Amino acid sequence: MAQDAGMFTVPQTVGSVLCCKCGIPMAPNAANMCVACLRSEVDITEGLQKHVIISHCPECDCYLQPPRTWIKAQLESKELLTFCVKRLKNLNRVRLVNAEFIWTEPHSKRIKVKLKVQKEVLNGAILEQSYVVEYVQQDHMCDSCSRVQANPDQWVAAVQLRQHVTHRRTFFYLEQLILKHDAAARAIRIKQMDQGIDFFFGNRSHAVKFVEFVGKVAPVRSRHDKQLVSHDPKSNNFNYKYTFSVEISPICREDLICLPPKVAVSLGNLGPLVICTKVTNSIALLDPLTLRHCFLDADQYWRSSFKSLLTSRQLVEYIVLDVEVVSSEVNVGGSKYVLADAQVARVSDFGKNDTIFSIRTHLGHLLNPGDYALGYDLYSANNNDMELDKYKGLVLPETILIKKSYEEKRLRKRSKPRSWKLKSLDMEVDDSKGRTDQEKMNKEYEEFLRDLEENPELRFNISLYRNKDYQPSEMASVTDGEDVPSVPLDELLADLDLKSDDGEGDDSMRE
Amino acid sequence: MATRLMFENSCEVGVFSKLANAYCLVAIGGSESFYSTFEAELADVIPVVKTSIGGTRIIGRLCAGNKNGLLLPHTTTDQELQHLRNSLPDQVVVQRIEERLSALGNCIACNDHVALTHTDLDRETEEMIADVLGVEVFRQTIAGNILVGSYCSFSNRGGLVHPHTSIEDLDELSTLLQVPLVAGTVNRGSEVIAAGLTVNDWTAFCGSDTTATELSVIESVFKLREAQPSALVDEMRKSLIDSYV
Repeated sequence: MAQDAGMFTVPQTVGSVLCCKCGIPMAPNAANMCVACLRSEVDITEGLQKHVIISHCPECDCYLQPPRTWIKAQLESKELLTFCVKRLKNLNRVRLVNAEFIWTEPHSKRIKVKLKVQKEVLNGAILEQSYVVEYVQQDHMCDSCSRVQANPDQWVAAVQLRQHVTHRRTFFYLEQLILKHDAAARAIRIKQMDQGIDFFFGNRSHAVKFVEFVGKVAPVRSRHDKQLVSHDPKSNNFNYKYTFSVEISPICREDLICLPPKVAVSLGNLGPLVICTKVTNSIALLDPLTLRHCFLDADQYWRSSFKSLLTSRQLVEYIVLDVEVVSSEVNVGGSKYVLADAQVARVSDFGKNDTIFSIRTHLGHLLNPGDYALGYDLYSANNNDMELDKYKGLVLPETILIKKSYEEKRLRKRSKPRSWKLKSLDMEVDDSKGRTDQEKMNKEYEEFLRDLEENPELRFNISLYRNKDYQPSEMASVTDGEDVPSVPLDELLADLDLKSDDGEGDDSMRE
Repeated sequence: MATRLMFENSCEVGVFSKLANAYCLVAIGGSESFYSTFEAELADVIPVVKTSIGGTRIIGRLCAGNKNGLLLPHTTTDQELQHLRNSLPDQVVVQRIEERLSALGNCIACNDHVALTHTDLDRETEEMIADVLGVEVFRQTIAGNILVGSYCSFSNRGGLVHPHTSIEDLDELSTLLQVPLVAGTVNRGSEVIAAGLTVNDWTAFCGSDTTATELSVIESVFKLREAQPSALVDEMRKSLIDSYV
């Protein structure tokens, strides 16, 4: 400042004085004592801890942060250093400047940390000193590890996922969604049950998270209960087992539904005969005769909770004789439909009688004369539905077509492996039902895979992996005309396989 | 020779005593041994007077003086003034001065020829100092401290100043005072030199916390060992003076 103002200032050279104890020359300081003498006078590490005992879980390499938090830390890691420094009492009396590990044998159960501290001593002199703290690891298993050691299958929360339908298609799809989002990563055990899957978790919050996930991908309703396992009245600790019962609506894609009058009215006199085109956390309904559509969310559905009139297992194959487009293309919820008048005959009738149905269908854009299509045969169906009876004078169409059939073409390309595959959850299967059940499931799984091939919309949410065993044959490239829908190669993911031998790596895959 | 002593468990002996070449004042009351130490050392040369100033015992900080005179603050009672006039030799002028800064011992440091004073002292006081003590007066600071009387102590033969005094300041003060000066400490590193030390031309008294190193610095800079022909001590003194003057 003075120099800035152009004032003259006398240069000040720091002189030296003798240390008052040992008499060596030194720069004057607040204590007027040399550092060595100051050290011998005062020990600033006095009263600081030099030996600390810490609890260490040998199973999961965690350290106990009192009162009961367990911190996962590697040896010589930043986290461990933070933990070690935090464990020292009275460290607020001094200023911590530096901390570092001194290497010790990993088996020695000792951790040594070198700390450098500063403190003000003797009227304003600041002394810096480093010292070593030795931590003794005492092995003490943490709660979760001791629980696992006692009984590995001990679960705290179970999620029972159910859908009361005759097929498992929904669960095949849900399995892929769970895999893609890694939603069941925390599950201890997954068990395949009749009409559903059970998931077991070690922690209630994991189960709650899983239930929330399912609620986002399917129209569900859930309730939870808890059962008291044990309790300690002295410390007021209660130990519960929680059960979450999650029910998925029985309405599936491609189901034919007769809406209850109340619902139909609330949806603006939709239907009452509608087909379900898509199920996410809401249900998409489409009236095939008018191309009107609407969405029902889980809440709205469970308020009336109707059932489907006919399900995809009751689909009958038809042959299309003539198609006459009525309307132009209409975009309904991301997929296109064209209203058309068609003349169809059952494949089973073909060559036996001349029964032909003139019907209206929403698949005008797909169907051509000579194609095969799958539909519900309302003409011969024996309907026993309460809701249908409520409509007096409702004229049922003879047939409602649902989708185009590729059965004939598929027969031609028989026994050709797919170029892709799916992962599967590691589920326990109850084998007591026998072989028929297994066969039925395999058939359903094959149908599910075909569905995936035919519907890009369905593939959107799940991960398909490249099948390494697949070799494209030259025969496939010379097929004429319309091909069976398949998955384009660029949609597939390469599977990360870290194992060296191929035999084991593919165990969890199903083709 | 420098003597180490204590006043009632306090090492600040410069506060409770005032030593000049012609007299010695000692605080009244308290320990008799304090008084008798001075008596033993000085009795056959100069009068050792027990007194209080303004009813207090901190006489060393309240008065300033040399062999020519003694300045007392305005708080001094008539009785005390009379007592001092009676006790001190006739050639010592005892004068009470009306100065706002009444701790004269903290504001004035002097030997028989030169005085350093607080920068804010009145002009009249400055004249009075020059007249009564017969000295040249310099307004000075010591290592940035305005209480020159507290942070330095010097006789006609040498002087000890605050340890933080820079070499340039040391040179300047030394030129003003015409005596060799050393930056140093008393009472185991205390920088309040005049509180721990009271000195005249042939003897010094310092607090009992003073270490041997400090004592040897004091003895060498005030040339208190001149009479003792000890080769070892001479050697030590030489090395000390070489590096510190």
